[in-house]
Amino acid sequence: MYRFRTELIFKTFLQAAVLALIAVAAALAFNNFRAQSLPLIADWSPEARLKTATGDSLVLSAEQAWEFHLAREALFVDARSPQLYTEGHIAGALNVPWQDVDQYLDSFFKKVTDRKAIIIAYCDGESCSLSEDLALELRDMGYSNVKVILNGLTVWKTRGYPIETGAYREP
Amino acid sequence: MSHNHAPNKPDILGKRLLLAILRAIMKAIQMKPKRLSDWLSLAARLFLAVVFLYASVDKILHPAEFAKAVYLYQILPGSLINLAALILPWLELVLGLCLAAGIWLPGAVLWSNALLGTFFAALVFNVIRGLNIHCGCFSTSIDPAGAWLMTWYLFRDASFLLAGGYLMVYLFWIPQLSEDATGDGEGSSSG
Repeated sequence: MYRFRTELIFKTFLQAAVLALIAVAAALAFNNFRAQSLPLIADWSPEARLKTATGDSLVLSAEQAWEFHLAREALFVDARSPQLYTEGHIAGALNVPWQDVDQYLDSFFKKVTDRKAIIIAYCDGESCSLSEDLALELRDMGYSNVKVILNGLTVWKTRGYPIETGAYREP
Repeated sequence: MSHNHAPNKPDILGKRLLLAILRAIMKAIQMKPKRLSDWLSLAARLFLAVVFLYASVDKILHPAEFAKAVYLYQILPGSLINLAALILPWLELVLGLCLAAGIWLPGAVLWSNALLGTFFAALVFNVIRGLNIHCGCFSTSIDPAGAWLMTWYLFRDASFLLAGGYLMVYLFWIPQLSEDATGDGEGSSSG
């Protein structure tokens, strides 16, 4: 026969509360004294995360991107996997999969020699961070006009802007 | 064969020393394993302690990366992400130490199960809604995770929960002693 130890319940919750307090105190103290402390509350909205050090946002609306597309002033870059790219991408977009970005950067440098070119990175889905990562990487590589369309492909499709399937074609 | 006595002596001493050390470790972790369940709970406790300690270190050292992993789970509201990323690893560290040392086990086991249950639920939730995430459980580096990896995470987290659940049962349900043996309350060794 087994018996539930009701006499332990109060002790258990008391211990749990004290353990939590210890963890919170240690975390806050450690964070306070370390060299690169994290702000306790940060804005994690995509717009805020893509603010650059100079304060200008990397985020481009789909309409703005469409104007660049119409005027053929920008290079669109698809940060998703080659498979998803072939299934459908923004017309004229280049594929630079973030997952194997090192393999693609060399040919990207050869193709895009103008460091001031307008580059618009995108992927798909609200939470997709591939385009952000790619955009920030390209900025670090010296491209100064990199932008991101949030939830790119879905927004692009719902507005009826042109999509292509298959491999890359010169626009 | 009397000349063999001298070399044997250090052996016996060594054996005694080893036994003393073992006994001291057992005492330090406050266990007097008698039954199979005692040994099982000791194993579960040390297993979870290693898991928590291992999991906490990288996250404590790289809070910004861990915050990103928390963000990618898309469950917590933005204002809570950094707080969770800062405090959670320290809680894991504290729990790992408690489990390893055998102190405050009821509180530590309750927290362990609460955390493991939450992690498991978050993982299942994201598998169901088709979000592929690197779990950020043990390392803060984020790679796109494949489906088989998600399955592995699920099985692994389930095994942690199993250990946690066993400890819960071991601590809170004790065998009811028969009337003639209720004298000294030796039935539990929970500490």
